Amino acid sequence: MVAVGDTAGRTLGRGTGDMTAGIWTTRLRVAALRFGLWMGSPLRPAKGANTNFVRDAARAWRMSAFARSLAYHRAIARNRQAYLGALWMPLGFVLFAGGISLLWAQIFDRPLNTYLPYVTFGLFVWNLILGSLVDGARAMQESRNLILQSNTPILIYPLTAMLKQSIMAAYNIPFVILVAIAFSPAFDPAMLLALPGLLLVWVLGLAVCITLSILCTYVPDLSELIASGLRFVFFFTPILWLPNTREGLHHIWMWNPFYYVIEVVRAPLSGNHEIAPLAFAVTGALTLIAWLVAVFVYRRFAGAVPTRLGG
Amino acid sequence: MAGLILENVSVSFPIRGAPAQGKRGGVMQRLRSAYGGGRATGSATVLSNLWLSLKPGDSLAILGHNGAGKSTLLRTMAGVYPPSTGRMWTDGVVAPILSPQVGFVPNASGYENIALRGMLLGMSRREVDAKTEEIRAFADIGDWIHEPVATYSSGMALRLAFAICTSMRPDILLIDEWIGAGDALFMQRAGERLEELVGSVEILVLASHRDSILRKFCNQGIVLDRGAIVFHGSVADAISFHGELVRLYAESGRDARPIGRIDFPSLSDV
Repeated sequence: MVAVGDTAGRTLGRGTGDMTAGIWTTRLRVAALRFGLWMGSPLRPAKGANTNFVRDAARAWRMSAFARSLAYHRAIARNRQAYLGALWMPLGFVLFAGGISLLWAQIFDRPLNTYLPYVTFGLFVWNLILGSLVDGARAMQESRNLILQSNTPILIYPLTAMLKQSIMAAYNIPFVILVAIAFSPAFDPAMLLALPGLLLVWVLGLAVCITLSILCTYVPDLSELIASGLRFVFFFTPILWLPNTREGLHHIWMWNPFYYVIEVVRAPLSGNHEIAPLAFAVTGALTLIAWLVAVFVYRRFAGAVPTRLGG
Repeated sequence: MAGLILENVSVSFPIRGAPAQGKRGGVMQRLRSAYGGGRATGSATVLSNLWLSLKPGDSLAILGHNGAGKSTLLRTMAGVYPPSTGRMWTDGVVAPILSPQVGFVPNASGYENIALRGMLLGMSRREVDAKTEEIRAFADIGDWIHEPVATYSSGMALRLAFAICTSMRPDILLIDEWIGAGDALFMQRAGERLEELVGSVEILVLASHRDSILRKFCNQGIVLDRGAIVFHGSVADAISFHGELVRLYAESGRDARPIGRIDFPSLSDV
């Protein structure tokens, strides 16, 4: 028997003659269009979605109300059923930062009035970094259903991930301010440098989110690698320990980019004016590089994200 | 003036070459076959070389068995999937109603989901707010509108989704077959609302297995078979062509294969 399945369409088509007629009419119409005979129609080639960074970023920005709303619902999703609701976000932070400071201050014999603020500020930024990387890595997979519904620019989803992290960080800010006021000797205007520092961390995080969210649709293992790798990085970054503890170990933090990203917020808040300029310089450079990489990755790889998710 | 033209459009999907069952090999070899140096190891051409031109007043029926590429074609027209070759030309606001039941934010209330879905479909916050009352009235789910969508029955979710999607007034409307859940009373109301919507758009593209719906709404039809347009003509001819195709497949004893054409360039190399 002939392989009917392979040729059924063509055989039938030739039999009726309709199919060829239909297609040639269409081709003629398309040809007419190409030569501008289409009654002055403003038809234009549908531009490939998710290939032009500037255009898509502008579109995503116009849809930022959607991103904000989605981010809010995702941020409070986990605690919706709990009696204390969203209060669990700051509570978890307070319990962890407070508890670990008390314990480690005892173990390592440190004065609590400097160690508690140090750990609180460090953990605050670390939570933001950790959340952005982990959420950024799964931003596209998480939003698969939404991406396949409409031609919304996919840049919306890393933006949503960062907005969600901002909301979660905002819940922790009151405790950070409380600690800063309670434990600093006097108010120093230089403490306000933590605000641009935080903004810089956010801008850096957005670039990393864009890169990771796209790459993770190509290499799904990346999100697992990040989640487990960061648990490890936490102990290699001066958050629970001070960077000047042991002379011989300075390589661990000196070459650790996470250290400088944390210091842009922690150094102004804890009045550590020696490291602050270097921290800002390194983080600024990282941000610049991260954005260059993000734009490159976007232009090169973002176009195929919907087919990768749908296929 | 609305218009939609496909010029030799193909759409292919990367196939992530999972290591073949029972295949032995080192970790590196498996990684290489899985990622092929960052590229997919193969691709499935789900739509191949489509030529199509729609002008105002056209309403197109898409016929084809499961896996022929109907949904992929609609998603391509909606701008979700980029054509891997060829070009698409569009003019006008395109609104897809593809699978409304999915894509709700489960822990947000019905009200909040109206805003979210509306904005996802391209409405501004102000447009959504202006339509919220009308959407709520049509969905007719009472006080449940204030509860999280996760607690809805499937019928309620469908009614809300339908009400949101049909509140838009686009130039080009793309509908994938999905109507069918919901009680008889709602289906009657839904039918009226859909007719009103279809009457207001310039171009309609409808994929369905139900001949009666296609005959009612469409004035031309295409038949897809494994990603290619094998027939393009009047909707009545398309329906009989499709029937003939199904009969032929049944007689030959072969199933229609689920996807168009699969090329595995690198799996043979391994």
